[in-house]
This record gives sequence, structure tokens and C-alpha cells, in this order.
Amino acid sequence: MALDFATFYDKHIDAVYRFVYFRVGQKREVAEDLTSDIFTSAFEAFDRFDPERGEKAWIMTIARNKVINHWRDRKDSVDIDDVAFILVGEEGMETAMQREETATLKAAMDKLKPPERSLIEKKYLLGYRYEEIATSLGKKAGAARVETHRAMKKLKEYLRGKI
Amino acid sequence: MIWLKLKLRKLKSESKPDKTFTIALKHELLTGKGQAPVYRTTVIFRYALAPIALALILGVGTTSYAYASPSVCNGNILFPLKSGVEHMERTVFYASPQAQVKYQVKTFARRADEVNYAIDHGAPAIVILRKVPEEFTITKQRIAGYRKAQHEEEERESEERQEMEDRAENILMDFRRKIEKAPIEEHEREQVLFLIDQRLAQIED
Repeated sequence: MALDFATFYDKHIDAVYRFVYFRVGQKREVAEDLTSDIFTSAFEAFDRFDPERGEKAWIMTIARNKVINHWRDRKDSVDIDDVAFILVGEEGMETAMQREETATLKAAMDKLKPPERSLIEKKYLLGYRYEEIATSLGKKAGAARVETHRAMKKLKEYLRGKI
Repeated sequence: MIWLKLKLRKLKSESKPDKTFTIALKHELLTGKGQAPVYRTTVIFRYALAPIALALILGVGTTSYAYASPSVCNGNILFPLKSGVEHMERTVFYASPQAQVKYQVKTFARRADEVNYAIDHGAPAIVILRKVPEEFTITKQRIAGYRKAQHEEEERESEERQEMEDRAENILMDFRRKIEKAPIEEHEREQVLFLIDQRLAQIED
């Protein structure tokens, strides 16, 4: 089991961390704490993991629940899809404004509808394949690609003349 | 859309987890809970391995020590051995001009380690500098120039690849949209779309 978990860990650590990072105001410390928590839970439940469910879907469900709990513990009632790319940090200070260009990109992504933002995030930041995105949406890979392409066009429009 | 993809790639690299963190967490999870990997080595194999290992240690130990240790610097009795291995390494593994520069940088770092070691062990600076062989005289500009060229090359290759992929993807996406609306049989449409999606998946790979 230990070796399998090591492979599993190597495969998903980056995506899980990024998923969390973009939902906790780009706070590295908070993202690291939550990621530790997520993988500890995954480790403890690894013998009950059903491979048919899909590795990524499983670990991302754990991640999603942990992020929801994080915000609930902070007594902030939020919709998980709306907390993506939060630009305001825990102390109410802006955390991602050091590089204007990146900040503009994040702000533009924030303007997209949650499903559109989720497509771009999955494809270009979390490293999902179109097939994986399609599975999570219950659609075909071609459809996922078309929708991602449309979302990218929309993002491009939002950024016109800003970057 | 290339520039947008490049910006997203930059954002992706900025949000990468710290390597120290990922290694530490993995270690904590796998060893902290008694789940360390089990390596199955039979007792017989272990005993057979011992004399072989001993012979190897005796055979190559001195050379390896000379090659790896920063304590072996110019003036040391083992330094000619070290230089010999380095010369062999340079000739065999670093033939191209680009590789030669790479090796030069590597050698520079090794000489720097030797100097640092000597300083840590109390050798006077003047003695240290006299011991430093010619590799150490490589200028910072040369190293910086090499690194800059390497970085630019990687950036250029990445952008070119991205541009080609993007162009191919756009052509296929246009074609896909036309096929979606084309007045053809539904089963034919599905077949063509399937083929297009296969090509698109290849771009993704």
C-alpha cells in the first residue's frame, strides 16, 4: 500500500495544492496546511479507495470538502465555486497584486462564470486532460474541448487591452 | 490565444507547491505512520553481496573519493586522479561545444566547493587562491551568458511549440464547427468528429 500511495501522491500533489491555493486567497501557509490535511485523510482512507471512481475525482472530492470546512470553520458561508481566485487575503489585504499582469489575469478569470472558470482552471492550471474534464461534467471530450475553447475566448475578450 | 496560454502557464508555475513541502509531507505520510516501502532482499543475496561490495569499494573507492570529495584540491596527492576522471568525463560525456560550456560550469562549481572546504578548514586565503586551478578563472559573465542563452532557448522552443499547437488546434476547431453544421448523415458526422477529436487529443498529448 505504501508504494502505491507514494505514486498516487506524486501524481496528484501539484493539482491538489493548486486547487486549494486558488481558493484560500493564494496564502501558501494555509494552502500547505489544508493540502497536508487532505493527503492525511486520503492516506487514512486509501485502503477503501475504489479505483473505478477515478483517482482524481476521489482526491478532488476530499480537497473540495476540506476547503468548504475551512471556510465554514472561519464562519464564512461561501459557495465553493465562488471562492475560486479570491484576491483578498485572510486579513483583508490583497495578496496577489505584486505582479500586476498576473493580478489582471486572475481578476479577469474572476469575471467568468464559475463553470467557465472551472474549465480553464482544470485544463490550464490543474493539468486535467479533456477526457478527465469530460468525465467530471458527464460529457464527451469533444464537448469539453469546445466549451473550454469558448471560455478561453471569453477570457481573452475580458483581457483585451489590459495585458 | 498563445499569449493567454503562456500567461496561464506562468500562473500555473507561480502556484506550484514548494518542493521542500511536498517532500516533507510525503515523508511524514509514508514513514511517520510506519508505512515505509518494503524492499525484499533475501538473506543469501545479502551475504553474496557483501564480498562483491567490498571488492568494489576497494577497487573504485579511492577514485570515487578523490572525484567526489571537495577536500581533494589542487596540491593534494589524489588531485591528479581527480583531474584524470574529470578529463575522461569531459571527453566522453561532453563532446559538443554547448556541453563543453555546461561541463565548464560544473567544474567551476566543483572548484568552488573545494575552495569553500579549504576555507572552512582554516587554510589561509592566499594559499587557497594559489591552489585554485584555471577553471576557477571562468568569468561570471560566461556562466551568466550560458544560463541566459539556455533560458532564452527554452522560452523560444516553448513558444514555438505552443504556437504550432495553437494553430493546429484552431484549424481543427474550425473544421469541427463546420462538420457540426454540415448537411451530412449523422453517423458520418460522428465518425468525422471522432477523428477530429482524436487529432485534437494528440495535440494535447
